[in-house]
Amino acid sequence: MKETRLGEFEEVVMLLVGILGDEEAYAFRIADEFKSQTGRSGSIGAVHSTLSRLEGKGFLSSEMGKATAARGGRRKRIYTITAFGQKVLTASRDFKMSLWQQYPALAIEKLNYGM
Amino acid sequence: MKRKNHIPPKLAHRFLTWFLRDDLAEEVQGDLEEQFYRELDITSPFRARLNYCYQVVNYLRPFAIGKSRSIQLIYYAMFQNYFKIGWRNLLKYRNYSIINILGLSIGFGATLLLLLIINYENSYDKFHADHDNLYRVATRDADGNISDLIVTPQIPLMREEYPDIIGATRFFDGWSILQYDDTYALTGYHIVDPDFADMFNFRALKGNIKEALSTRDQMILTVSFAEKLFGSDDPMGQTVSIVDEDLHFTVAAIVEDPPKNSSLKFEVLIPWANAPSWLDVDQAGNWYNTFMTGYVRLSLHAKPEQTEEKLRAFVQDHFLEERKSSQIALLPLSDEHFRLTNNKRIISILGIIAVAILLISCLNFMNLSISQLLGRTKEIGVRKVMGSKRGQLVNQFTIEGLIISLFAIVIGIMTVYSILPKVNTYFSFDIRIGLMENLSILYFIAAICLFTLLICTLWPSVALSGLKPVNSMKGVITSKKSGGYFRKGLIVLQFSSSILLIVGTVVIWSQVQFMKNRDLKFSGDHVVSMLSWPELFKDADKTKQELIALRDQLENETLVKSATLTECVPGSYNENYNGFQSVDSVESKSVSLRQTTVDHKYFDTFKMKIVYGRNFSQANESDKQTVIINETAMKAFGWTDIDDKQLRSGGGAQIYNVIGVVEDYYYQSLKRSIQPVIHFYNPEVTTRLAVRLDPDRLREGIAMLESKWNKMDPYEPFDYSFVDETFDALYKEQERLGTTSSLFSLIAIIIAGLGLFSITSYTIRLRKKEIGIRKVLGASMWSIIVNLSGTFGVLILSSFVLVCPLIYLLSDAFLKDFTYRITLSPWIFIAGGAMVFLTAMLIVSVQSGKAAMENPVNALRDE
Repeated sequence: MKETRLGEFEEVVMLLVGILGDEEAYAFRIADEFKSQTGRSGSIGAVHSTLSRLEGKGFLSSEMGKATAARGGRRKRIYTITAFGQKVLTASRDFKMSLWQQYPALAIEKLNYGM
Repeated sequence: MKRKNHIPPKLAHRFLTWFLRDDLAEEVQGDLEEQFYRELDITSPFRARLNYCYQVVNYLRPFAIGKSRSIQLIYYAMFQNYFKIGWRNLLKYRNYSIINILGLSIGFGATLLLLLIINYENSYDKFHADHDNLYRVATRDADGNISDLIVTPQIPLMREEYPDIIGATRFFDGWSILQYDDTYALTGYHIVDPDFADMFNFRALKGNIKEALSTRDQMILTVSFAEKLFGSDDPMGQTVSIVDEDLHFTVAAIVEDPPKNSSLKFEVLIPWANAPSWLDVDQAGNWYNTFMTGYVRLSLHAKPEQTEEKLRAFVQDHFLEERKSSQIALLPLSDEHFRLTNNKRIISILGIIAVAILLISCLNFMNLSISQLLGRTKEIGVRKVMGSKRGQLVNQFTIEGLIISLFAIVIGIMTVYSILPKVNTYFSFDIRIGLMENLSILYFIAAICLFTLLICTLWPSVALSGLKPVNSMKGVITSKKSGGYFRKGLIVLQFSSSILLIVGTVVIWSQVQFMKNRDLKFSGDHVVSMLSWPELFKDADKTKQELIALRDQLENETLVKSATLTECVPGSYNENYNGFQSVDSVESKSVSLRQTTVDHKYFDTFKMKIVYGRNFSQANESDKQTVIINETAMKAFGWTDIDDKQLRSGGGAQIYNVIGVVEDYYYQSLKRSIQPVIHFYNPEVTTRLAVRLDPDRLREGIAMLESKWNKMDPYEPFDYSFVDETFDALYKEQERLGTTSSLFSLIAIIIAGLGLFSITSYTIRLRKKEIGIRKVLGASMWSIIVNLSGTFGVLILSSFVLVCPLIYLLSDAFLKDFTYRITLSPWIFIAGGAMVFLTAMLIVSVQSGKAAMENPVNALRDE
């Protein structure tokens, strides 16, 4: 059975792939977006490694894009979420939602003010 | 603006491309570059560069690192294509291919054979488990001369007194007739000490060597001798007698015949306990007569040099006064074969030849491959343009080379395998190639194969695959500058090796001829000699008298010029020395003289000249106390005449009158110098009968001798040899070397010739148009031939000049082995060089002649 759980970083990367869409979801853009969305810096290598791992698990698929003059004529590898990846992502969100729904309201208050 | 001035840090970029998987290269480089220029826009160039480096380092992750190279597809189809193209090229340039394969296989085979021979020669006596610690005992006199025979009591005493010596045995050889039932066989027997069993690893088939040697009256036979004596009977436990010693033995063990690569050869071993009294008891206090072979085994930690030092005390304790200046020498058994045959240098010469031939044929192969591939520059260009990588071109050419060289290697190995039996007979070797016998030889063969393959195939393909596509498409052969020199260098190297081999062969042959043709100061032609111990006949006492009568009677035969009974004939003098002192001289310097016993007819029969005094006379009974010495001995005593000169033998009271001096004649190979010799007189010595026959009626003479011989009832059939032939056989080793090296030099020059042939024909093909134009512009045929041949002529001349000093050094080293040697005249060099030069020029001019006669239209019309 393949590993279908998602780590936090993996989940964010997948979400970013979805957000960036067909033209923009390549390693550099994703890493850039990750930085601007989270404020944390992540190297392109780290993102790329996660992307290729997710592709290996079948959550993402990739294709070489068209050549552009911008990067010395080199092509980009564009990632898209597969149907299976979509399912895993949804499952992950649903699981967390269900957890939140069981969470006592009072505790939320505590959490908010406690720290 | 900013962008143009800045590019990502080169080092980091190169590092990235080095480790990054090929299939990721494009996207990653793109991403990083995009990042870099973005950073450049928002921060400083320095920070951008720093960031680039940071990103590169961050790509050092398992998924990105270049395992890809091995994952890459093996282009099966491409390999198929390489084979196909290789095969087609092989067939297309059929002549080149045949020359190439032939040259390489001859070269490879020759090298392999030589290496097998060398390996065999090195294997002598190595089959004893402890061969590193076994030594032959010898004495080294003050001048450094080695005498390898020792006195009888020395070995047991050394064993007793020196704890470093953990084994010691004498190895006395006697000849006698052995009898079992009514079968008689003449054989050499050896008397050995019990330690023999532990020191040497001869394999017992039946019985136990150690037990047999430590028990009285027991005997060990080799398997083939047992067959000779016993036929199909079981020899174990049977009784065998030595007839003339009246000794009787029980056969207690049967051993395998000593292997051919053993220096110790024997058929029969007898324990020392049974040594006859003349050998054992009578010799117990004899410290002057050296005639014994002895071996010792040192303990693991003992160094031979140190032991030799320690043994100085032994010399002081036991040796006779006049021999106290000498020293006991321990000669390693592993070197014994080389010492005896004196062919260590020969082996290194063969080694040089082997390397030279392999080198010549590999260079040849390389040269041919390169020039052939140069004809395919267009193909290389097209392949490169079509996207072939350098590695792929290397693959292709390597595979083509592999096809040819594998062919050659297989042919070479098969040839060697099939001629090996003949080689074994010629050299009386016992070389075997087989999994069981010698795994190391197989490794050896594999190593040479690999070497050949590497040199021959990988190198040219690497060199050629580097051609620039544009140039090669244009058909510009870039080799005109650098590659041309390289190929010329190869030709020079090749011809240097050939000249070296040829001149070397001439030197060896001249030396052999020189030795054979030298005036030996005695005449052995038409003199037959035969071993004539009375013990070889059924009635020994009667035969002794008969032999003496026969000698005197032969004088009157018309078929016979002269006959003598003697102990030895020239070419087979015993290594029997004794020290002698002049009686009247005050400072009684002892001289070691080589001893031999002759009768009064000896010097006449061999036509040796008595230069002072007179010959022995039968009429004079007192002559039995007289001796004749040779000129060298006279010089050694410092005499100018022999009036009233007397000699006293070392260790004995016996005094001899010197009545004559014989001119120095050569009684042994010219490799060694003439030693002082003393001839004792005994008219009844009957070890050998030597008869000078009428040269015109040799056959009748021999038939007459045979019939007389058979009348005396011998055990063994009549057997004779001509003294001159026996003497010439002393140069067998040199002659064999001469034959071997001429043969292999011939091979070398054939290979070099083949190489030159194809190189010239290739070069001429390249210059076809040039020749055509020259002809059109009015060049004569001769000027073209001279023009074409000139280049090669210069190359060969320069190789001659280059190699001459090397030849001189090597031949000088070879000749150092010989006491009487030729002087190296420049003519030998010039002759060898001229031979190579003429052969080469013949090859070249025939080809250039062909090219020069060609119709220029054919050359100039293109496509």
